[in-house]
Amino acid sequence: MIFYVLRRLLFLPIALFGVSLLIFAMIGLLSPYQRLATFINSPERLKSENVDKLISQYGLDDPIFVQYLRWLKNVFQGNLGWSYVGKGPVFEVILERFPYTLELTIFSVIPIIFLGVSLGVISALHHNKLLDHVLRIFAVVGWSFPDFVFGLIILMVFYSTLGLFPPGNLSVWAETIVKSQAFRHITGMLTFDSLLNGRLDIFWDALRHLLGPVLTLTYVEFAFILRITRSSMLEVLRKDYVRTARAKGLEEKVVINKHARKNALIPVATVSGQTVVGLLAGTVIVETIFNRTGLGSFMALAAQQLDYASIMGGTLFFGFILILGNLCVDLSYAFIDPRVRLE
Amino acid sequence: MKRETRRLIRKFFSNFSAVLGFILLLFFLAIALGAPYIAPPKSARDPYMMPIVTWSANPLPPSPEHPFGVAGKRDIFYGVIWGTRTAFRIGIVVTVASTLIGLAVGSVAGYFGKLVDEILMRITDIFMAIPFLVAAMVLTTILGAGLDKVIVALVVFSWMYSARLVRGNILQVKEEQFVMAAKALGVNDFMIILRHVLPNSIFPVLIQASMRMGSLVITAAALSFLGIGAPQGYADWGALLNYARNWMLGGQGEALRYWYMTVFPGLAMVLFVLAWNLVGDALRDIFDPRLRM
Amino acid sequence: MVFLCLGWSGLVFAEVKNPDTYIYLSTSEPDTLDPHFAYDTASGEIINFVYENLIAYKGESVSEFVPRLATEVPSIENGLIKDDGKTYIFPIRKGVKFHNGNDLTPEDVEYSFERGLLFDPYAGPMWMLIEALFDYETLEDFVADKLGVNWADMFNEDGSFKDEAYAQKLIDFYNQYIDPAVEVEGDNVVFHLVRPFAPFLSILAQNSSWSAVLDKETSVAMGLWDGKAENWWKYHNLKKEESPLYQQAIGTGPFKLLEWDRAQQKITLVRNEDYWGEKPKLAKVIIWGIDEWSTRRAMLEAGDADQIYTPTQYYDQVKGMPGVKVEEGARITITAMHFNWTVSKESKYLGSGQLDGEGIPPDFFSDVHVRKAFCYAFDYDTFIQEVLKGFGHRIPSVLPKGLLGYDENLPMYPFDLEKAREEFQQAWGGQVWEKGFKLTLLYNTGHEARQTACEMLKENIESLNPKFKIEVQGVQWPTYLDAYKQGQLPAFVIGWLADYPDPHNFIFTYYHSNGVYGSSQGQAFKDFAKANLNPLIEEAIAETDPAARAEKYTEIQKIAYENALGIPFYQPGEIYAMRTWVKGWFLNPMRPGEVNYDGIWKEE
Repeated sequence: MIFYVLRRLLFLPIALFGVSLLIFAMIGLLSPYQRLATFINSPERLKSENVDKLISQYGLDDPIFVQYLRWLKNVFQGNLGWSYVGKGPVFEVILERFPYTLELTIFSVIPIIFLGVSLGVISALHHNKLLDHVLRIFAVVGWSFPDFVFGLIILMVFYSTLGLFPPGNLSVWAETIVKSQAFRHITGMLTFDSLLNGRLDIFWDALRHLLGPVLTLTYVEFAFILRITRSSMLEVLRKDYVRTARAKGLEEKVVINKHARKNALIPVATVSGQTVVGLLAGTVIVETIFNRTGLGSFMALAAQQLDYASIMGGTLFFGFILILGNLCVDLSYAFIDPRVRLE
Repeated sequence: MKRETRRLIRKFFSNFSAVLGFILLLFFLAIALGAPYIAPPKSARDPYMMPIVTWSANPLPPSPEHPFGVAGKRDIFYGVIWGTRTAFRIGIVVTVASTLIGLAVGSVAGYFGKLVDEILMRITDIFMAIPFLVAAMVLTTILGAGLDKVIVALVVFSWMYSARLVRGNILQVKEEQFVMAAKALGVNDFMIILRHVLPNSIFPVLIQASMRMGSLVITAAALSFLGIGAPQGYADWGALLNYARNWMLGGQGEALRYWYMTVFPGLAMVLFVLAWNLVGDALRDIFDPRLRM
Repeated sequence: MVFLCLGWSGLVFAEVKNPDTYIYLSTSEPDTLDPHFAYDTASGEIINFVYENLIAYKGESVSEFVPRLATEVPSIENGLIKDDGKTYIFPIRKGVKFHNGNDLTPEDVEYSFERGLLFDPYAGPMWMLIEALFDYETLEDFVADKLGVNWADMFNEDGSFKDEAYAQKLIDFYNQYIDPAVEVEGDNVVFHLVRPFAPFLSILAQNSSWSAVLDKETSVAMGLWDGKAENWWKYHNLKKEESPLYQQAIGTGPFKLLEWDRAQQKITLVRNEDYWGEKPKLAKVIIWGIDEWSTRRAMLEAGDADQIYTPTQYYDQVKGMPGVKVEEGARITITAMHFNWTVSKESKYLGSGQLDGEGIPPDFFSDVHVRKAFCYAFDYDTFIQEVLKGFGHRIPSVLPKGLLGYDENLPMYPFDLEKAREEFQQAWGGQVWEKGFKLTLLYNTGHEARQTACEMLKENIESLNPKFKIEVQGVQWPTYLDAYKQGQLPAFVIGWLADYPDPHNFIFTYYHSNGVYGSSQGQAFKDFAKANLNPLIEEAIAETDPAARAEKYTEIQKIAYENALGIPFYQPGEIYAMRTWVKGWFLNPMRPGEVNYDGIWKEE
């Protein structure tokens, strides 16, 4: 097992190298003019002679592998470059934003799993009856809405009409406090930090701002968990040991709670890991609509403007998280289900 | 075999959701095939481009000439009808292409194992480690605008999931007796894969493919949101919903004033994805031998 | 529970939210706060309230000035403009302090301008001052002309000189040309121009961020140019992020920069309590970049924002919104389509590249009949009514209303498909009509008005002859830039916002062979311009008598009309949606931002 983990971890730098090569190669297929776009803010006012001078200044006319090696050399020296989208050094900019995405993911995963599991169990218990169909259709409808549509509906209903879940990270008064010297930033996540600072009022404010995106992500994503729970539960309910328990005369409730559910949740645990990893990489739309800080919107903007330093740094970071995340998922799979062998 | 097939079909149709999904799919198929008659194209050149019916950017509510209303200067009805074709097109091309690639990579990796498996799976990992949206955006900037470029981007960054699934299944099937028997008989590796291993591991792949048909439409809509995706004016449900994005909060005191921009394409998308999901679910229910009781 | 929340939000509506803080939602954030680098309106907006210039526009006017850091506006009458307009004298105000407590002195003014001139980054705005003072386009051109060697040829890769003699030559260059151009004489700062330049005061006025006044001591301490002749070249053309003024701003203005939160694209300004003039009524200003229209609109509705950037196409959404009023105004900007008379042969947008019905030849637009046909094929009034919702008007040429030389009685092409047909029939000796053509029009995605303009041209032109095929394609900005700069676009829709309110800024840009847009219209156009337009344009700017200048600009516009040099689409109007509790708002067309933070306040 240790050997397996070590082997996977050793692969990490190779994978990251591969990722960076792939992305840089793609960017390298663009012309120098296209890659110049990120460095210019008022492109229409640019004079033609200046375009060529700028291309030289930023080294965009060097052969692609020279540019890549330059970037690689900087990376080994700990410098990921300057992010034009983030207006700061790439690494700093990423670290600033990552906790927000992480916070959103954590607060979304909990209701997703809770809702998915509880409704999935109910669905399985009423297999092929009306409740099963209704629940499944309800879930799938959520999944089949593009998240920006649902997000805007939430914005309209809960913010415009009811004034409940405002966009942004915090209200003006809360932000003044958070940015003052008195507030200590420990995790970078507003909810946890406000609790650690003992400020319950800021905690509620941060939570209020989280609820819109969380609601959107929950409805759009919980269908997957529901389906896995349902099919896993169905499978377990037909197993011999369940039949035995029933034959023994145990109450149905006990059968479900004591024997069936625990085993049914095994695949759910691993799928939850996948969901977390997927959420981390997929929050861009929700962040844009609710105007929250986060890595998703940052990456989307970087890709749109071809800010290659940000793109390279961001994909490295994401690659790191995703590979580690997948490793954890695979490990948890082995840990939870003793029948699985890792190879 | 025949009796088995008949049994499966009967099982399929006894399931309410499956029947519902199947009917919905047939409905969409009918619309897609009948598009030129239901919504006759104005331009002989490119029927997929929604015709411009007004110059004002303001949406217009449903009326006799525009049964679903007007959004982004274009007729929503036309867009929903021809968008059905687009949905099928994207779904089929991307699913078939990425599944084939995934099958090829996954079966080679799973069957031969050891070094081949290691290398292929690490390459798969690398592709999987790249955030999809970023890669799609960069790729479409390189390749240029157009739906076919979007399809390429979708294929290039989604074959990995089929590959992993196939590989996993093959690893299981490989240990089965009949494969070992074939090997002992000296049957060529390629033939073993093709005639023994694949048919037995194909079902999960098919189920995954059917799910993907639906989710691709949503991914395409997300790409439209980010500014890449189908070109402006192309008949695509995601593009239509993107027009709705800036008007969804309503105007002049009515929050639901522009409801038709969201409802019609949204309903089409929801029903389409729902149909594929129900069918996929039903397929899993039938084909999974462990649920046979 | 729901009713409680509804009731609670209803109560909040009755009062002004955040009474001494103004929250403005824009679509973007500033590029850089370095006044000599910034060339975008988002940066200009901030620089404008944190720094000050020598003079400012009076209220809403763009032709009258009031003193700001100077105590008088130079004019011929008060003797502060001398030598036929080649010398400007500014007496500097006393008792003004920078945000960090330092005093304003005439040396600070001299330093600010000289630093800017020497810095002159490639994509920056300093060319205006360099043109005004020295009649060159860039500092490097100036140096190359006087020293006889190109800037790039003087240096090695690592920045050292190829020949040590260059160092002394550059020092001499500074002492001979740059230093004397801006001098301190007692309490005054004096500017010496090489020839009279009519728009000079506009280039200096508040809202022109490149003429902002920095504090010399603070700047040197931050690491900017030390003010000496030696080594000035090390401070030339730094990259954006290398400039110490990128994210810092110490000025004399009514507001101080409190914070630039780059994670949220938010800038916070606070009132300068030691401001020498009338203090702003607002204590705090928050300028927040939120790209998504629906989110901005929702926040305005809820009162969480006081004013938002409102594209005119969403007028119907803000009209009649409770608690919100919509003001109207216009800036000095126009949008036009211009043609490339000599498209690059590698262009993908030419189709087959021949006049065979499947493409166009690279010099397609060099035939005046083709251009005239396009001019007749655009439905100007419908566009302004439907697409701009009536916020805008036609212009005879690229010169906008409000500037010298604008004359609404000049001839304009009407929308006339019959005439368009005639022109097409005459184009290229009748071949265009016989064989047909195919070309691609590109627009930059996100620009709805430009997209619609291209689509309108396509529909109208294609309706004339089934053999005419125009493809309209939207591309992302980098691709557009690439095609545009390489001369691959057969035609392009492009707008220009005034740098300063003078006709020269527009006429030169579009019609002179060296103009930013003029130089992108192909070699054939450049030749035409050199022969017919350049001399007139250069005379017009050298002329000091406004009446004579106006005559010349009228002549230029007539040439533009007769030769259908471009299709002037519209001069747009703007709308500004804000809460009804906002008082004291007014627009100056030259102001980069939409709000006069120093004059507004909030009350019901």
